[in-house]
Amino acid sequence: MTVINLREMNIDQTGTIVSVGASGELGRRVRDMGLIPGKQIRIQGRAPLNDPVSLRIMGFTLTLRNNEADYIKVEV
Amino acid sequence: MSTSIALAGNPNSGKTTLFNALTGARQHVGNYPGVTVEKKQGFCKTDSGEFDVVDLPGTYSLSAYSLEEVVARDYIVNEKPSMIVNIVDASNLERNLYLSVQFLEMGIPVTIALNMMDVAQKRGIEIDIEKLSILLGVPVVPTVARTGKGKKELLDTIVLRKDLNPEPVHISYGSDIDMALDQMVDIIRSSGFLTQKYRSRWIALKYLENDQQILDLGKNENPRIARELESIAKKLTSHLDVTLNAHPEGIIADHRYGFINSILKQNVITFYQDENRLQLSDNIDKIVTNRFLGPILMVAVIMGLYQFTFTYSELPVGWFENFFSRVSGMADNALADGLLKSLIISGIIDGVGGVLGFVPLIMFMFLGISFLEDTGYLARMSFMLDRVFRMFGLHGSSVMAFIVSGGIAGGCAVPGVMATRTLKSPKERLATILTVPFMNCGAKLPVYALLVAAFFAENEAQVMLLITMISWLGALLVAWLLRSTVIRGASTPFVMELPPYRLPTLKGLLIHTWERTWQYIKKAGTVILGISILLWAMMTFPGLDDQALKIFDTKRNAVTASVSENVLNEIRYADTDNLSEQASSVKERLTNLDMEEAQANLKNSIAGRIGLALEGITQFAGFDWRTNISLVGGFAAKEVVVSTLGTAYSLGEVDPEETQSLSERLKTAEGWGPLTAFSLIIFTIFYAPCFVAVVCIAKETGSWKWAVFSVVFNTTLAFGLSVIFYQVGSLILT
Amino acid sequence: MELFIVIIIVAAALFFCIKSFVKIYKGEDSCGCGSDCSCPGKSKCRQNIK
Ligand SMILES: Nc1nc2c(ncn2[C@@H]2O[C@H](COP(=O)(O)OP(=O)(O)OP(=O)(O)O)[C@@H](O)[C@H]2O)c(=O)[nH]1
Repeated sequence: MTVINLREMNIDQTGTIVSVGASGELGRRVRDMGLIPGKQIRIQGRAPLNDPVSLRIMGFTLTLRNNEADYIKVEV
Repeated sequence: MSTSIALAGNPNSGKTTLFNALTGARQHVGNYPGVTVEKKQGFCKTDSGEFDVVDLPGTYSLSAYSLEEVVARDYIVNEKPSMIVNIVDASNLERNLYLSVQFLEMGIPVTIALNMMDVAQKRGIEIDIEKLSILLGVPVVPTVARTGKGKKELLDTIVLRKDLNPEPVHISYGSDIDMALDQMVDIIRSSGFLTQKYRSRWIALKYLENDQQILDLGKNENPRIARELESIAKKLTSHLDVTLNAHPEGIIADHRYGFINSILKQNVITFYQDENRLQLSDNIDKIVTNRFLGPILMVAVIMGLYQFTFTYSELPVGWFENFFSRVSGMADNALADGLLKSLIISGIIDGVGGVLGFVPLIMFMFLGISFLEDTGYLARMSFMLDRVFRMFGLHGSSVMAFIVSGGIAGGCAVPGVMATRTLKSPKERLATILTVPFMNCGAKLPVYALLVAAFFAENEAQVMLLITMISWLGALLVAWLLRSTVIRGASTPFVMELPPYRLPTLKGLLIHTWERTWQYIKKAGTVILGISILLWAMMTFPGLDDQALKIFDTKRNAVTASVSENVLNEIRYADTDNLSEQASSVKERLTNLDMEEAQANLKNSIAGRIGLALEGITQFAGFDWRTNISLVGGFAAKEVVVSTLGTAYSLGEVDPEETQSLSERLKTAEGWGPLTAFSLIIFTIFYAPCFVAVVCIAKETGSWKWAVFSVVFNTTLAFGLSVIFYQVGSLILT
Repeated sequence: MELFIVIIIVAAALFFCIKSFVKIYKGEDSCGCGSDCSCPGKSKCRQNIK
């Protein structure tokens, strides 16, 4: 089990969120959407320019930019 | 007495659909989160009672960070509706309950409408509704908003439970936070701090969450207590930072989700399939947002829409044009020559008729757009374009604002400006507001359609695509210019939900299309009609002075005097088709004189003089004085460009035998060609937003400064680009 | 007579146009744009950009 940045995950890879380092507005937006420690996520795909990334959490799809994904650590 | 209810819930949970089902209204529904940005009001009368229904903007939380959240929260707190109907998407229960929990913490009357039960069922999700209701302590009613199922039960429940303020739900946030909360609640209770409006524990929570709105309210209410509470919050924050390396906000959110989880775990929800499998939707996304196929598909979709629109609307547009020609011919026969006839034929029929002639085209365009909107594809466009938009200082959500304004075709800048409310950063929002007017709004469509039909008939769809690309590229470049000069600032997060694909319902599509088409027709029949009449008057009066009239009379007399009485009688009474050679030449000379007089009259009119005065500079862009008149009229509304050209070319025309459509007239008119037409298209893309949009920009930006800026800047830009295009084009072509 | 009728029609059009523009300006009427309008009816737009 290793902990990596969300940005480094591959498409179709699953993992569990370990920590969300974002604060302020980004932190709030991310938490409102359910990206909190303990949740399972799966990377769905990336936009044509590799950014943003779309991921599956709690049964819905969410988009996030790479530099925002950097705040999120995932155990894979 | 009617019961006031407010619909609240996550974006895209079906609030507006339910609102429409309840009130019979036909508000805009779209499969894109954040379509509703303003609250909408409606009324509903059933056997269960009478209800005032308010559709609040969709929010994921109640943190007062964004405009939608403030609108929703303020409404609930200040208007105190008898019941909050919290729409919860059953296929997405866990995240949706996050908002519900926050309502429950406020201690306000809430009924949960568990919507999209059909979707949940299809995905193999089973929910124990009774248990959920008991555990949450509020009524839960299953609904399918699309079909109206569960509507009656929902209203009955509301009547039964209205105005009963339940005890707020008490969530434990861990010992540190709970202790601070208790301490704060004591202070708040004993001093009655803000308690007329809010529950004390809720206020305390908001202090810990660092909620700016409540902090400001508190400072106004009682600075001393506010300071006391703030210092407790601060102490806790630094304590948590040291011990847990966390922020109270984060911990509060964790516990809220924990609370939801603890409820769902008690066999409230059962998955018969893997919950993370949205097979069909995922498979579509694999193709649609594919690195290579995605962008190609995007262009293909738009191109396909144009092709579809132009191909299928050609025939009905022809019918409409014929119809208006016939009406004009009838009016011509029925009315005696004079001012009234000119008003009716040139002002009304040729003016408004020119705009109405494009109704079929507009309708097909709207049908296509409505389809795209309902499927959920537009959210994917935002997803794919976010990176590109960010390079120009905009945001993925700007894409949606662009599309609402007519980014693909046939929107309107006013709702487009409103749609920018989903943008969180004021800077990005301002840049978006100032660039959305470049899109192909429904009012510009008839202008493009007219010019494209007249001069680019072979490649209609391609030219339309070119117009779209120019407008997007222009918007992006202007945004970049603004963002790197006057409105500099960092970019904001792009955390957005991608809704699952949905198959639009035929009924929904038809209603939606008709609604938009009707708006177009209504506007043509009211505002455009009024403006057309005014412009006709400006193009007719003051008329020629006596001296000029006398000159034309003498010329006419000279022509008639030169031939015998016989010939004149022949012109007057004989069949037009078989005149003698002499008679027809005389007749032609007389007609030419009439035309010359009409032209002179038009040139001498108020509008004509304005147009001529402007010709001094607009000639560099290839616009003659008639085009100038129509462009000046276009400041009021863009359709006026078409109606005014219709009137202007109709006034110069005196031969009643020929009732051509405007595009046919333009084709043969002097000074017109593909180069002029495209120069005018470029000008139309970029020049000042219409009056209504300007007002909306002023209101949404909070200052007239930006409204004036957009008028002056856009017009200058448009003129500059048209001149460059026309001059370079003329050089190449000659 | 004809001139009189025309003047009345033009005056009515002028009145109507001014009225509807004033209404739009005051935010009492939804925009008259040629398409879907989800813009607010009665409520005034909010100000949030500084
Ligand atoms: N299958 C199904 N689809 C639904 C139901 N209710 C709504 N929809 C669809 O869900 C989508 C979103 O509906 P809206 O009513 O626009 O959602 P909203 O909550 O008002 O969204 P915002 O305006 O963005 O806040 C639309 O495509 C609807 O057709 C339902 O009960 N069943």
